[in-house]
Order: sequence, then structure tokens, then C-alpha cells
Amino acid sequence: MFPLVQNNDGIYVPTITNFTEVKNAQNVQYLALYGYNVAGAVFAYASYYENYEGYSECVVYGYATNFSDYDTGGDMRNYGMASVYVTYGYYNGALKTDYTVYKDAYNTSEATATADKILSGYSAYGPNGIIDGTASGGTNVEIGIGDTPIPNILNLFYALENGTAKTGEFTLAQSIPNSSTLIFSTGLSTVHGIFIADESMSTLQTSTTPDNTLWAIVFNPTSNTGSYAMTRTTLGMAYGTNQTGVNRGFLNRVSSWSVTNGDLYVTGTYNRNNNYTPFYPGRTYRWVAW
Amino acid sequence: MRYYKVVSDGYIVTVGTGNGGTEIIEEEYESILSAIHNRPDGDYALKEDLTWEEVSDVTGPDEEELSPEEIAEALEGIL
Repeated sequence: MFPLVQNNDGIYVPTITNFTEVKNAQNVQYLALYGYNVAGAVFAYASYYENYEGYSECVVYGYATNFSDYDTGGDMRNYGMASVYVTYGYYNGALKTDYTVYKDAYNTSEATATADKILSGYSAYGPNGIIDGTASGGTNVEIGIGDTPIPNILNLFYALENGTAKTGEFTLAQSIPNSSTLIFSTGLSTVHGIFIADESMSTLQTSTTPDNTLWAIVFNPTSNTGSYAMTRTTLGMAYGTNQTGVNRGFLNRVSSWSVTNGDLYVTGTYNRNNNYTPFYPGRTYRWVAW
Repeated sequence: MRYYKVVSDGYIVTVGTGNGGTEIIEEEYESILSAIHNRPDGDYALKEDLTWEEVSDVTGPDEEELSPEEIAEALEGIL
């Protein structure tokens, strides 16, 4: 996980200091947003970077799994890992879109199923969906129920690239009740999601041990069935580990989400316990809304 | 850059940059931030005069881990 720093548009974007697993990564700009399907059928995370040729690339990793098996510490390879490297962007004036699929050889049939699910989501919401901003539809795709994290994350990339994302930061003076309403003055009439991170994040976190450092994406529950906050606790899955209990964060869900006069009101459970996403007084949190 | 604070019942809840809250100047923002960073341990709330007042725990008790049955119940209708 990476710190959020302001880009030339004044928007906080994730930046990285170390990410060795991105294929051919050069001039990495910002990346590493994670998510998985609340239904538990597939989870995925996406990375965004500029490759050595100058194309913008989005890497979408997927793993077919389910919570019950995963919770017992099953071997992730059994669930069919696959990665899809999606390239989109303009290079020398021409739009380039392409993708390459990589499948884990341990269980090829499951890996193929995973790749198919990712691609079905990608084809439904891919570059065209990003560019015309229609990716927040609600059409069911195999990868999930309603909108999935993947198109929403791609939408965030699009919003970041085009400077339409809104941003801010805040520091709490005191603890907040477990169930609280946070207000984000985005100025947007519709907010698809909000990405919140502790500003102190400065290194890639690979430990699967739940801790208290916030790194979360919350999707609009109206356009995303079963909206939830993706948290640090889900990150363990992104690294293919099998530590029991790392997937608890998804239950830290949003109970209400509304926009009034450009202010986003998000009511949810924010503190709960250490396996969730507590806010701490004295820590500064940065957010990006799109 | 715009600085703001959010005050509730005489206590400063948060400060930030961007839209929202009550706009303040940078010097006040830095003063509040400095006070927050020197927050005493325990349950304290920051008054508008930048002094701390001990308060009861506002977060409530930590919730227990959910059982597999509770998780299944939470997911009912989603899966």
C-alpha cells in the first residue's frame, strides 16, 4: 500500500515506492487498489501504471475462491489464480487497448474460469466503459453481483487521469463512535466510491496480520450491491496468502450513502475492532472520491 | 489551499483541507493540528480554546468477531 500524494491537478493519488511484481513496470505513477467481490466468488485487485512504452496499463488480478474455504486456510492455488494485464491509453496519438491473460498452472480449469470472469467484467466495462463513463451501470456480470470492484476501480483510474476525482484530507481530534456518519465535501452530485488512506502509509505492506492502518475503498451501495469497505484485512488475499481471518473487512459495510449539496454522507461502522478499519485521532487520512 | 474545522457541541472534531466544515486560516489549522498531535492519552476531547477535556469513551466497546453463522446471515440475499 502506498502513500497518497498530490498530482499536478492537486488530487491525491496513490504512488508507489516499491512494487516488484508489476510486469515491465517503468515510471510507475500510481497503483494498487484492491478489492474483491462481496459475494466471495472472485476477488480481484487492480494496479495502474505506465509501462515502458508509455502506455497506461491496468493489471487486474483475480482469484476464484470462496470465503468458507478460504477461512479454513485453504491453498489459494486450488481456487484458480489468473491475471489479466489490460493496456489502455494513448501513445503517439493512438489509442491502444489490449490485454494478456496469465493463468496459474496449478489448477488450470479454475484459472481459466477466473480469467473468463475477469474478462467478462472487462468486456462489459472495459476501456469504452471507462472512457464514456458508463461503467457504473448495474448489469450483472459473472464476476459479481451488480457492479464489481474492477470496473469501479477502472473508473477511479479514469477519474484520476482526467482530473475529475475530488480529494481532501482530515485529521480527527477525537475518537468517533463505532457507528458514525462521515461527511466528505466532494462537490460531486453523484459519488461512485471513495478511497481513503492513512497518509503515513509509505511502504508496501505485505504482512497479512491485521493492523490498524487504514486503507479502504468504499463503494456507493446504491450502484454496487452489497457495498462494503475494502480494508487492509483484505490485502492479505491479494498476495495469495492463506491466513485465516484476513477477509473479515468486507463486513465493515456501509449502512447509508447519500449526497446533499455536494456533501457525501457515509454512515458505517468504522471502529469495530482491530480487524476492521478504525480511525484514530491524531492520524491524518486522505481521500479521493469519484 | 482551503483549511477547515468541524466543531460539534463546543468540541473540535476534525480539521482538514478541501471543502467542508468552517473555513479557517492556515495559522489556526496549524495550531489545532499541533494540539491534536499533543493529545493526551485516554479519552479526551479538544475544546475550541485548544485545551483538552476528559470525556467518557465515545467509541463503545469493540465488537466481537462474527461467527461463521453470523457471516452467513450477513451475506444472505447477497450470495
